Amino acid sequence: MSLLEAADLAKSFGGITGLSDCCIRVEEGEIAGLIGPNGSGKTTLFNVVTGYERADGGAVRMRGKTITGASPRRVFRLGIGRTFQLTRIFSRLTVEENVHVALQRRGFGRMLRRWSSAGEQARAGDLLEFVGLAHLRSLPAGNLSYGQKKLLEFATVLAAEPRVILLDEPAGGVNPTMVTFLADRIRTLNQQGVTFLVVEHNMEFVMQLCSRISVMHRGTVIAEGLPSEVRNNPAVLEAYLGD
Amino acid sequence: MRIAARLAGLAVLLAIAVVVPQVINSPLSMTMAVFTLLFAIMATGWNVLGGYTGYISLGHAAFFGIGAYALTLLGQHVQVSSGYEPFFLLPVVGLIGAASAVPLGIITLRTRRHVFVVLTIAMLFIGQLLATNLRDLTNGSTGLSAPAAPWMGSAFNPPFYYAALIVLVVAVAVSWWIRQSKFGLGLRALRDDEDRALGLGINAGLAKLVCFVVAAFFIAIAGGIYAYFQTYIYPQVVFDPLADLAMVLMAFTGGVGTVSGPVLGALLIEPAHEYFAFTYGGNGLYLILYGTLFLVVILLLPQGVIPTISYWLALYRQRRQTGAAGQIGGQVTPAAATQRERAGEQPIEQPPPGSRAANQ
Amino acid sequence: MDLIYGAIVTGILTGGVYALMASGLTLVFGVMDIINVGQGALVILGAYLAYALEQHLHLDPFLSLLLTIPALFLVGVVIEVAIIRRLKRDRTMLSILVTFAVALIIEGLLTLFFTTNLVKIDAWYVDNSFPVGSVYVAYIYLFGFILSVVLLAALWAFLYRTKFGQGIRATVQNRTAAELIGINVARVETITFGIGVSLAAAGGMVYGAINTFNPVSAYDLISRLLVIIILGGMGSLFGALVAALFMLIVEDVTSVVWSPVWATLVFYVVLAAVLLVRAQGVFGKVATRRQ
Repeated sequence: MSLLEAADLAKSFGGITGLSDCCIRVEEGEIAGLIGPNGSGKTTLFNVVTGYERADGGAVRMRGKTITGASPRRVFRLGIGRTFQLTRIFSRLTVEENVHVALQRRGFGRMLRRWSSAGEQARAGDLLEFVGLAHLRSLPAGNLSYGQKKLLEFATVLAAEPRVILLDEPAGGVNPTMVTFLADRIRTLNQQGVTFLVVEHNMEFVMQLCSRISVMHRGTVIAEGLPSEVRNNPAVLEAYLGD
Repeated sequence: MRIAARLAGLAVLLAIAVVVPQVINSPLSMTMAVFTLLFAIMATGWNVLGGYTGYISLGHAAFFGIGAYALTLLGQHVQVSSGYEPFFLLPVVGLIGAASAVPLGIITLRTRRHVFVVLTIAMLFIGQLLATNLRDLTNGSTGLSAPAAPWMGSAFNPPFYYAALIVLVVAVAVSWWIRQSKFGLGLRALRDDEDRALGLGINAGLAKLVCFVVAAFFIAIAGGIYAYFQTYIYPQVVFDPLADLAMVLMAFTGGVGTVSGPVLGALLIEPAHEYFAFTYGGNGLYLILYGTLFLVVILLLPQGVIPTISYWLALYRQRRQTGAAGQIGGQVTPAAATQRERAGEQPIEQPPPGSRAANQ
Repeated sequence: MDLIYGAIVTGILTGGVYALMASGLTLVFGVMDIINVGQGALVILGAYLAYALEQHLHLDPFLSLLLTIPALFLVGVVIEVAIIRRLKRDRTMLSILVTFAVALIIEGLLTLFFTTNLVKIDAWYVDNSFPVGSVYVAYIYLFGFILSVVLLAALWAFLYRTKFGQGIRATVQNRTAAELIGINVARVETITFGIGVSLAAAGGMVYGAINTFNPVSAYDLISRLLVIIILGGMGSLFGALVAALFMLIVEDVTSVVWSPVWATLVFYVVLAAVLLVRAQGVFGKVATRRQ
């Protein structure tokens, strides 16, 4: 049973087809990649899976249990984290407050206590160390550079200790040093047991990082397999170079 | 160290506030003081919703009216002997306001922020409409007589002053508590980006409703105190768009989203408000001045006094730091460079005055 | 039954006038993303102008429109340039507060010049009526409706048949794109705002002939107009038209069937009911979750 699975998803916007018979699966413990030319529906797929869009048909399953149509909040609670193409962080909160938002607390009474307990401080500190932003913890997040914001968003996603993380173009618009750093962080987390599904245009990034890659074109998955297999698949080349 | 200084400052302020009625003799000034406190309560309550969540309600004065009528109607069943009895009704009045806020909040908070504002305007209006027309209950536009306190002359105002002061302290305490709590952090997150906050597990709908209700609670209590203070209430007076606007203006002037801002705003605006009302009263000049004041505040000082001051302070500190670093050996150290770059490229804590940072 | 029939007729006729006033409001929202909460006060200003011209110059109210419409257009331009333009970030929210302040100032000025005494615009067609079934309806309702139809048609023609109107529609759809293709968005905004306010002048004249009014009437008016544009979906002209007709018919019928007092309340009850079911209004666009 796959950790996360999308089966026959369909989604259209007016007359435009976003997704059609889209199937993808993510096995526990792997770093799966999702590539495809612009407009192939990758972000739409993410949106449907994480509840930001509603599918017209098909199902989304987590460990066999259907979760289609769950709200973003519920998806989050189920242990699915995601980042966005256009990085979204809370610009008026400080860097460490941003991370704290994602740290969950159980119980009504706890919500009334001070926003940061010792344990949470430590955890936020660890997360910020992990992404290399610890020295900026008191800065308003809006002041960070684009790359730093991406790292912050990443740290925030990690804070909730999700089982599977969907990354939407994590290496987009970011310098090569940062890209390497990100790949390294992803691998480290993966070794600790976090599953990833990465959407990316940066081929090198995807080929080196992911153990299995799916290729989307026009709303559906046209190929799937090891990086070496996908690289040489004629249908994939056709999709990228053709029409 | 800073905390000790802050607490000391608060203690001093409180001491001054407590002593005021003993020092001031003129009943007119005392009345103004009571009104200032009432508005401070309203502005602080309003700020819990408008400032912390960014959902600007232009109709929460409706709860002032509900509170006023609640106290008046409940007061009819209460024996007033020592004069303090009606004050004990205030928590109930607050709860009535809160209870009425729940369904209203549920309906209005589902919409986008600017539709929300418009709906709250309608809310105030409906309140006035109902108060004027439910004659059996409210006696319509003739007004209703509230319990009369037994105190005479110059002894009349101080009890109201202290009652309002106590409520204000409670309101500020609640406001402060919320702000530094985990709940408050969630509010600030949802103010910045509500959808993202939802995606991180924050129950935005519930959070907004809680703030809506808390605001209504305190505003209703202010209305209750007012009713007892004035001993007679009219629908058009307790459901007053101008008072509503005054409350919002005070929160904005002092600093929306801060704890002390609304109180400062009330201290600044209310005396001016009373002066205008007194001097220019019924004719249009009063409205013109008020509207102009509001315009000026929004256009020139959209952050309010307190955030603007703290921004300038931070800017001043920053300039001193980069200045010193730049002087070291005449060389630009990397740390100073990034700091300067930051100061140049983006504002320190808040965007500069003259622009608003709030999201829709 | 005849009463209901008459109520429906007046509902339609006044609905047209409200549609005129609301169209300015919703158009401004569509183009500029701002809510002019001062529209009610501006309508009353238009009413007072017509009233003053009628009282002192004995100018027929419909003729006075030739003066009041351009006058209020200028007022709108001034407001937009002096105040609205200065709002940079978070325009929608601040515009509400700022236009509320402007409304107060207008209300204050009107109180200063005219006091709070209730007045009404006088003309032969206000006092005389024509039969509809067995009920009599004042001519002003009919003339006002015709005026609204003419002006709304002119607005439509302007939006859909002229180059500038095309520019307006482009700006509504996508501001940035419009700028990129050379449309002077700032000018579009100023002129649109001016149009919105000048429509208030026309509506105000009819309003002032149908109802007695004073400066305070602005509150009730803006509440209704806002309800209408929310119901119809903010930014939708067609929605504003349909909503105005619907609400006025419902209100007038309720007034006759139940009582005039509760008729106003029905306005808000309908709004609450619609919003519970469809939070964006009948013709509004859904605020899709930003992904």
